[in-house]
This record gives sequence, structure tokens and C-alpha cells, in this order.
Amino acid sequence: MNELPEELVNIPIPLVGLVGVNSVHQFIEKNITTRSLIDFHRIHPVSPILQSQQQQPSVKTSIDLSSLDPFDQSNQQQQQQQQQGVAATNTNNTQVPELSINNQPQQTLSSTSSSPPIPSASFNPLIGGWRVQPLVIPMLKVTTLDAGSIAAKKEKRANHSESFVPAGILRANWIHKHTVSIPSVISLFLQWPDDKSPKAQELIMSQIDTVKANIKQRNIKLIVVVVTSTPNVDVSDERFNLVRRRADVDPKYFLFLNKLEMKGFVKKWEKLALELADLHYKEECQSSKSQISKSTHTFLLIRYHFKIAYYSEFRIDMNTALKYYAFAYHSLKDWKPNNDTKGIRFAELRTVASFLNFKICKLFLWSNNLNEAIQQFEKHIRLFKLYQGPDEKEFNHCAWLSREYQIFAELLDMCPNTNKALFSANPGFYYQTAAKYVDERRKYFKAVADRYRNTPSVVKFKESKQRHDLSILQYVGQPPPDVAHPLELVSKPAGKDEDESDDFYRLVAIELQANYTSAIIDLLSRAYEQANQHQNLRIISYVESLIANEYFYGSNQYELALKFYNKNAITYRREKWWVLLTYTLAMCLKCVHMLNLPTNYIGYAMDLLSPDLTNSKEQRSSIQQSLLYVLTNPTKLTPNIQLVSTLDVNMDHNHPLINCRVQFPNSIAFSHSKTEIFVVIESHFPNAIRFSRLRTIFSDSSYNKVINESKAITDPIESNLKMNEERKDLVFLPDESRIFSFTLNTREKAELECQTVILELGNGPTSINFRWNISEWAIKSDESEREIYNEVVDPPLPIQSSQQLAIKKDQIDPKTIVKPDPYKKFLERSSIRILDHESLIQIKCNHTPPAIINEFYQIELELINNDKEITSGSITFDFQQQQQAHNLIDKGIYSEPNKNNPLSRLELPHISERTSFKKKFYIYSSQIDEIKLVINVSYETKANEISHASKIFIFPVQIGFLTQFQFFNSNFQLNDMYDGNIVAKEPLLLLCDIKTNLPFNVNILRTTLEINNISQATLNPLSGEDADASAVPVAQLLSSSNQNLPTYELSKDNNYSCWFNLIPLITGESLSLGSLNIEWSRKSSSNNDNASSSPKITSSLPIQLPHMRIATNPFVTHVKVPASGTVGVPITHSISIYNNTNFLQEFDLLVINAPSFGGSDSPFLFSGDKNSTFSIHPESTHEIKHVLLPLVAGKHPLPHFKIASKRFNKELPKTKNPNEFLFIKPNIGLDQQ
Amino acid sequence: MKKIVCVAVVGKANDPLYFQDFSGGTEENRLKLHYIVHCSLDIIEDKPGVKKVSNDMYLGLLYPTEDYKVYGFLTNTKIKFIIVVLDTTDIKDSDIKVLHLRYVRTASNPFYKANKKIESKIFQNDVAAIVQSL
Repeated sequence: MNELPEELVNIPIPLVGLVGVNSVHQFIEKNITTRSLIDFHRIHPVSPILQSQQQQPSVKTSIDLSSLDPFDQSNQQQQQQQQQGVAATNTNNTQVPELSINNQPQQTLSSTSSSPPIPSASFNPLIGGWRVQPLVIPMLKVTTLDAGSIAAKKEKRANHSESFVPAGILRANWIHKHTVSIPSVISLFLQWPDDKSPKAQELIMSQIDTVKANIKQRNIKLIVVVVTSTPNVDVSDERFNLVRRRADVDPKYFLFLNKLEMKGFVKKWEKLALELADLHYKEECQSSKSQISKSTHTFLLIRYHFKIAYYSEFRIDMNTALKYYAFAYHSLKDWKPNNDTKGIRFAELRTVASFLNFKICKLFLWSNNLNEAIQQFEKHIRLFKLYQGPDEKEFNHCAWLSREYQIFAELLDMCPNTNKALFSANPGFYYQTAAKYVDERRKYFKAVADRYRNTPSVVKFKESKQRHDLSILQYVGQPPPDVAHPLELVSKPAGKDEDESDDFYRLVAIELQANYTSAIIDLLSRAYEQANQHQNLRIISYVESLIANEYFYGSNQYELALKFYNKNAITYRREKWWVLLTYTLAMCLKCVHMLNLPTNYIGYAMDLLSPDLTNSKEQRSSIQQSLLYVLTNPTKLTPNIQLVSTLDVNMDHNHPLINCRVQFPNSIAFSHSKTEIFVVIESHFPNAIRFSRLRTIFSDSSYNKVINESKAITDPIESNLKMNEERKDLVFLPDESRIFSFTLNTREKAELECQTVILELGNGPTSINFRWNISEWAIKSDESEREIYNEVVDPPLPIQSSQQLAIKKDQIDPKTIVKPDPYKKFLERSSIRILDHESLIQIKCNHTPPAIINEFYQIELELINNDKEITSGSITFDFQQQQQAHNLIDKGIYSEPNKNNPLSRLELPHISERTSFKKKFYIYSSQIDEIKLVINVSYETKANEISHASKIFIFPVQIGFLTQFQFFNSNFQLNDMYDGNIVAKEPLLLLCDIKTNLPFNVNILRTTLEINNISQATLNPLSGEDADASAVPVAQLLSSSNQNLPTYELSKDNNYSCWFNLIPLITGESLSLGSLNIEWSRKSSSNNDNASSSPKITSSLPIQLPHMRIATNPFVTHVKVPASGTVGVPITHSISIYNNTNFLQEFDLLVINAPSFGGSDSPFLFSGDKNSTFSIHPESTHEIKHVLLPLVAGKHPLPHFKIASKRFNKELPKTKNPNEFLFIKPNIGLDQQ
Repeated sequence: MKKIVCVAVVGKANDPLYFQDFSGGTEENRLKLHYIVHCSLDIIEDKPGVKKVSNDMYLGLLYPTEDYKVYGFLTNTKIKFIIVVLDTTDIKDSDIKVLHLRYVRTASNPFYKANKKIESKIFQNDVAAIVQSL
């Protein structure tokens, strides 16, 4: 905004001319009323863009007022030292001495200082020398004039506005004229003379005449003030009347002033003066309007509109002002210059447009019309973006464009009303664009500068300064009168030539002084500031990259550039914007190259070689080449950059360019043996690359391994190399993964870790060592393993740990080491345990599962010796205890099939190589179980190597037989399990069915039933005094079926049955009558072997009978009836019932289906009760007798004697069955008789 | 002259999934487009109205640059479509919705890994066809 003339920016204040009494003028000037508003205020005279490069070697632009104040200057110098030239001293301010600067410079200074790396252009609220702040301005501007000193107005011809073609649009001095020299009102102060002589009167009159004549043409209003010294003035004095008439003023504007009553007068006068000023400007507006006609030249039209708008601003009529500025702009827009090859018209138009645009935008913004302001500005830029004029001056157009953007940005920035949340209202974008045009300006100027830099005509103007003063111009936007374009030199007379070309040369000379970088950085810093306010991190990044570009290309300040690039690289890497990251890293690389930082150079080069980035193969190849040059031949790089000492690069585990993985194939190895370690290195260098050395560093340095490359890294790489073939060299083809295998000869017991792998590029003092500190990311063995390890190293060896280790040993087969595929992920294992000698014996157990309860289960232990000859050793057997207590289980290991010789340790005999040792042993368990047997073998070979081996075997123990029991009564009727169950003291039959689910056949030798005594039979055995009674057997075995049966072979498909006849003696709720004892032996498949090697082992398996409820019958019933009878011979049918209960029992008797007496179809004659009731006393017997006389021979059903207990409401079971028959023989004898 | 200068699809984590430059410009211009698209993500995050619960995924004009206009579209899965057009043209929401449909089709391919770079030839051709047709 500096480039705008000050008159344009400042708020216009009505001007009042004071004529006559100087002392009064001064008083009025001091006491004039003020109003307050928020507007622009000039606090610094010069634009930063004008500061010359020579004077200002630093980049940071900061506005500085210190040179105006000696105190501040010293302050400034200190600051300069601190910030190393961040602040710059401006010496240009002498150019504009007329500007009064009465702000507090202290405040400004503090706002300019900021800390790097953010450029220090954060000057809020100070921007471009202007600041928006609350202002207090006088209502009127007063100036003392001499009577008749106002310049006369030019005479205009008739029809002036219709025919006149103006030379320019706006007169350059017009605004200045109306704000400084031409008042709207003249206030004439007349010092009233004390003497009343006509001469004094005459003097006053002539004074009035002069003023009147002077103001008449310009329609300036007049106030006449008569100044008297005495308080009492005779108002009716005729002389006053004369004066008033002469002055021809309304009495209202004819005032008296007593010098003693000045204070009250100023208020009154001011009001009248304002009134008249307003009237004056209003009339001026009208007069301008009246001059506009259809044929008015566009320039004049614009001029009139501008004037009306400006007059309206005097009147604080902003709406009208805005309207007419817009009219003016509209007219300007439509006017197209013809034949404007020099671009002078264009330059004028754009300058006027710039003025109008500023005014319009400002008025829009101040009235909260953000969108209109933006639209206006966009329209403005569209209209003037395309340059018309000679190419040589295009830089100037860019300067103008840049300025327009900057002005608009500043307007937005400073406008108190703007809604900053809207992105389109964000000044950052406009600052950024302004910076872009500064850059273009530099580009366009470069050719011009190269051409004219040293020409004498330019050197002549070396000390020139930019001229922004409208006072030297005739028309706004036109070159000053001494100006023309050099291209016209030829056609013009020599004398004038010089003048015209001078302007261009002066322009060039001034432009040569411009410090573009500071201007660009300044603008970008403001954009940065804006983005920062909104926390727009990506926009910040963009602005930063622009700043960095400027530092890099514009001012070669690589260090600053690097800082910004570096910061951006982090952002872009995080968001995976590879294109941007690639560019940023490439710029970083250039920066560090320029700064000669070889270490960083290598770092960025490696970053750039990463395959994620989007740079082309050629670019990557050249980076790789440069990397090699840094090591070997720095002269090939300009500027030279060389690594002076060995550089260790700590690599990430998965560095995208080159990564390394290591693997021990096994987690353990044995002392004095060999093991391998695989190192896989994956390279993504764009071209084949030859490394110099590969080193692997172990925790025990004596294991360290090295591969050296015989050739230098610069030696050409053979073209016939193939991917993935075995090679001895250290050449990596692009994207190749190579696996290096090192054989380690283990020594004593230790934990060996591969700590670091180093791949060296280059020999001698300058090499890059890529270090992978594998131990940093290796998966450490967890705590439990560590404990075990500690136990292992402590002698003597605890059994527990050794057996676990031995399990591991079993898992490792040393002969099957597989190399991992270098192109795939694999388990990385960087440490290995070296343990004692590896056991080579094999432990086997031969047996036929499952084991059966109570069986001496035969197992054959076999040790196969793959080791050297065993001289001594021992085997221990042990059950692996489980959590739950199995105290009740009777189990053990025995060397023979009886419990006489328990087995826990066995000495090993001498076992020669490649032979096996066998030993039979037996395990026994009385319960269903899963026996875990641990067999530990420790032995010493002939070579005195002590080894341990251990193995767990699991043997399931089962019952093996399925048994089913059924109870029948003596009539072979299946016992109803739900009813009464077993009846005590009555004989019953027990059927045992035996099946097997074993995979082998068994021989059943014998089955016996052992009757339990009471304590065995119950679930809760009695104790104490009742224990005597518990020895009583619960039943009596009468007979059994299979006593004489030979051995029976039971296979899976069939079953084995046996019967027992027994009488339960005791009643009880849940009693097991006894247990079935099965004596059996395994039927071996190959009889021959068995017969010779092992005796037949007979095992007995007791199976408890199910627990039953044994109850007594409440009534013991006996039915007595003969099986047969003879016709005519009476038969006695008696039922005796014994009452076994303690109660009187009542019964009903009903004889159903009774043959009727004498009926022919009835087989019997029948005597006795047919339907009766009887009762029986406890423990007594009742007998019911019936006599049947058979009438017919044959098989006849007996009548049904239904006896039901009243108490139980149940029929007696004995009499229940109606299907009883009687065989009746024919009575031959009787017939014969 | 083609109106669309650049089409970009940006993933949930603001990483570019697809970026096609139709300007045919220089490397410098290409870089600038990248910057523009990247900066527009800030606007999408900032844009008032995005936080509103709305079915309309079309964000409209994000911001004008000097030569271009940037339009945005934000799906419910936070996939962003950013189209950069020449200053003189406008884009309607239906235009971006076509692009969204194409993206949905591409993302439905079982071989496409969600939130990974789109390398589908069909998608590229589709986008080119859309650009041509506008």
C-alpha cells in the first residue's frame, strides 16, 4: 500500500481557509473539534520493496524506524548483532522528509523482532508502512491563507465537456489541491479598527473585495468574522451593515468575535463552517454532474465521477462515494485504448484503475461487503492481467500486479470487519500471489538488467529513488513530463530523446536496486502468518516451500532453505505425498551440497534412493553415481564435496533402500560343533553396486566374520552377473536380496548374539559404513526361558530343566537346516545358545496300549545309540506329577509283573556304537489315569562327553471291559428296577455280560463273584462300634454258572456271560452286593514270541456290582396249589399271608372268573369265600383256603384270587398273575368204578 | 482445451490414492498441482459445513487459486475427491458423483486393497473418459 499516494489513502477532511487575523487562526486550529474513526494511518514512509540490495545484505525485511531516533538506532544495532542481520536499517527515509512520524518507534521495533526460522515479517498490526488504528481527526482542516492567494481556475471553453479531449484521466495534483490548497470555505477575520476613520473602513472593504473576487470562480463559501477587542460592540453600527452588504453574506454567516470570548466562538464558528463546507462540496458534486453529457469523453467521465465520489467522501457520504467510484471504474473498464504500442495509456489506465479499485474495495470492506470486495478485485485483476506494452517494461507490469495483490491482501488483513474464517477472505493467498509476481518481475527484469546494467545512461541514475509523489506528475499513471520510451528514440529529435529515455533508465536503475528476495520473503512470511493463524498446516508447508525456494534460488541462502525443506519433508513423508517429498528431498540434497555437508549429503541421497519415491530411474542412478563420487572422486561434483572421514550410518531395521536380516537356523547349538548364521541383505539401489566389506559382529568377538571384496567400488561391474546366483563378491544388482551364510565353530557353552552387521561402501579413510544394530530390535528371549537357561548353566543339572531342554532337542534335527528365502519374510533370530554336547541316543518305548486297571503293563524300553560308545550311564524313571493329588491311586513302576521290585533307577551297561539296549519294565495303576512317564538318560561316552537325554511318554490306563448286570427273580422275570427292586431274603438271579473294546483279544480265565460285607457294600462304610456288624456278608451265594468253563477268548465282537444265584440277606437303600472279579490275560497275536520272551501275565479286574435298593416284602405270601388234579377229586388251594409289618393290615378278597356252581362250562366246582374282607395282625399269618373240584379234564385256568391290601391299595404280587393253569387228568378210575 | 486440469483421490489418512494430471504441463506445473491438491486438504478440514451431518458429500468450490479452481467431494468414509479445473470453468456435483461411482466400482474389486494406491487401468480409463466428456 506504500505505492499508493498518501492523499488517496488518507481520509479527506474538508478544508477551510482562514484569512485575516493570525492569532485567531492559531487558536482555532488548536481548538477544533475532533471525531474518531478506525482507518489507515501512515507510520512508515517507504515500501520494503524499495530498499536497495546493496544497503541491505540481509534477507529479512523488517520495517524499521530506528534511523529516525538515535536511541533506537543503537538499539537496532544490538539487535542486528543478535540476529545476525535479521533486521535491516532503512536509510531511504530521507527521501520523504515531509512525512511526520509520531508513532512510538519502540513498539514497532518490538514487533519486528522474531526468532528464526520463521521469517520476521510478522508485523501485525504494522503492514507496509500503514496501520489500521483508531484515529482522532479534526472535523475540519484549517489553513491560513493570504487574501486572494487561491489559484485561479482555468477558463473553460463553452461545451467544454462535450468536445474536449483530455490528455489524461486524472490530474495528478487534483487530490492534493483539494486537500491542501483549495478550501471549501474561506473564513475572513476582520480586525475591527478602533478608529472610525473612513480610511480604516476603506482598508476593510478592499480586503473583502479581494477575497470575494478570489473565491467567486471556485464557488468557495465565505464566513465573515469581525474581531473586536472590546466586549461591548454596538451591533447596530452602520459600518457593520456596510461591511456585511459588501461581503454579501447571509447574516447567519456574519459573526462577531470578542477576543475575550474565543472558546464559545470556536464551537459556533465550526458548526457554520461545516455547514458551508458541506454545501460547497454538494454544489461541486452537482456542478460535476451537470457537466456530464452523452458525448463526454470517457476520460472526462471518469474524472467527473471520481470527483463526485471524492467530494462525497468529504461529506462523509460513503454510499454515494462508493457508487461513483464504481461508475468511474465501470467507465474505465469499457474504454479500450487504440494504437497504444508504448503501453503508456495502458499504464495510465491500470494506475487509475488501481486507485479506484483500492477505494471501492476499501469501501466495500469497511461496510462489511466482503464478497463484493473480492468480486471487484477479481474483476480488476482479470481486466488488467494481460500486459499491453513493450516487452522491456513487462517487469514493471508484474510489479504492478504484485502490488495490487499486496494492497488487496493488506486491505483484507487490516480490515477490522473481515470474517477471517472464510478461506477466500484469507489474505494469505493474496500475499502469496503477490510474492509470485515479484518473482515474475525478477524474471522479466533479468534480461533487461543484463542489457542495461552497465550502460552509462543507467549508471547516471544510480542514486535515483522511486518517485511516488504525484506532485511531479501531470496526470495520474502517466510518466512524468520528462519521460518517454527508449524505443522512440530514433524518431524523436535528439534533445528530447534524452529526456524521454531517462525515465526508462531511471526505472531500470531503481529496479536494479530492488531486493526481490526480501520482498518475496516478506510477502510469504505474511502468508505464513495468516496460515498459522488458521492452523492450516498444509498451506503452511506450501508457503514454507515457497520461502525455501526463494532462499535457495533467489538469495542462495542454503542454510535457511534447508531448514524449511527439512521441516516440509517431515510433513510430506507423514502424509505419504511422495511426489512432494521427492521434490523436497531433492532440494534438501542440493542445499547440503551447496553447504558442503557431506554427511547430510549422504543421508539425503540415501533417502532419495528409496524406492518409495517417485523420482525416475535416471535421477536415482545419477544420485547413486554422485554418492560414489563423494567417496572416490569429488572433483566430478560441482561444487566439490567430499567425505573426509569414515561415516557410520545407523540403519533402520527396515530401511527402504537397504535392509538386513539375520537368522540362526536354530535357537540352540552344542559346544564343539558347527552352526550357521545367515545374513540377508536386500538392496534397492537403482544400479548394481559393489560394497567393499561385510562384517558381522557378535557378542563374543572371536566369532566375528568378515567378507572382503577384492575390487574397488569404482571398478566396473561385470555385465554378465545374474540375479540370485551364488557369487563370492559383494555386488548387489538392483532389487537383489543376497544371503550370506557363515559357519561358526562353537566352543564352550555360552549365549551368542549377533549384535551388528556392518556393510562398508568404500575403503580407507572415506567409507560409508551401513550399520544395523540388530541387538536393538532383536526379540529377546523371554523371562521364563532366561530362567531355564540360568538353571542349565548351574551345575548340577536339575532334572526339570534338562528334560525340557531335551524336548527341544528332539524338535531340532541338526541335519535339516534350511536356508531362508531371502525374498520372503522369515523368523529373525539373532542369538543362539551354545549348550553342552548334543545327545545322540534315541529313546523308545515299545508297548501295546492301552493299559488296563490293575494290570502290570509291560513296556519295553529301547535305547538306540547313535553316539559314540557309551561307557557308563544311568536311566531314571519318574512319573510326572500332576496338579491334583492322586494319593489314593495305587500306581508304580516295577521291573517284574508283581509289586516286589519297584523300579526308579537303572544303571546302563556298556553300549557299543550303533547298537540298542532293551529293557522290559511294568507299570501298574489301580485307577483310570494317564500316566506320564519321564525317562531321563545320562551317559558318558568313550570320549568323556557327558550328555543328557530325556523323553516323556504317555500311557493311558483304561478299564478295558464293559460289563452289564441284570437281576431276575426266581421265575426268570426281569426285576423291575423301579418297583421294590431287590427283595431281601428271597433268592434272585444275577446275569453278568462282559464285552471288550480293546484293540486286542483277551482270554478270560475265570469269573468269580465276591460277596461284599456290609462295610464294602455301602457307599459310606460304618465305623466305630458298628464296625463289628460290618463284617456280616450282605448276601449268600448259592451257585454260579461258569465254574467249570475253560478259558474263553473274548474278542471285540462277542460277549461273555455268567449267572449267579444268590439271596440278599440285608435290606438297605443303596447296597452293592459284591464285585465281579475277572481274571484275564492278553492274547498275544504272535504266540511264539510271547511264549519265549515273556510269561503270561494274568491280571484280575474287580468290577463292583451296581448299588441297589434292597427291600423286604411287607407281606410274605405263599400260594399252595398242586400242579395237577383229577376230575372229581377235590383240590385244596390255599394262600397263606404273613404280615411282615408292624401294623394291622386289611385285605379285600375277590375271586374273579369264578366258575358258577353247577355251570357246565365251568371247569371247577368251587367252595370258599368269593368276596370277603379280612385283616391280619402284625407278624401273624392268615390262611385262605378254597376247595376246587375239577369237573372237566384238560388245561384249565385257575380262578383269579385277587387279594388287595387296603393300606397299600395294591394287589399282592404273588396272586397277581391270572395266567396260572391247572392240568386236570380224567378220572379213569372213577369212571371205571 | 480441456477444462479439467487434475483429478485426485485422497485417502482417509490424507495420502494420495490417485493423482492424474491432465494439464500436460511442465514438471514444475505438475508439482504445483500437487501442492494445490495437498493444500486443499486443509480447506476440506477447515470448511465450515463439513462437520454438519449431511448426506451431501459434495463440498463445492473449495478455493480459487490464481489460475485454477479447486472442487472437493468428501465421502462418508473420508475419501476425498479433488478436481482442479481451469479458472474459467465450473464443475457440477453430478460430475464428481460420476467419479465417485467409478471409484466405488474400483474399490469393490476384491483385489483392491482399501486405502491403497489405485492402480486399476479401468479406473484410469474411466477418469480419462470423464475428463474428456466434460
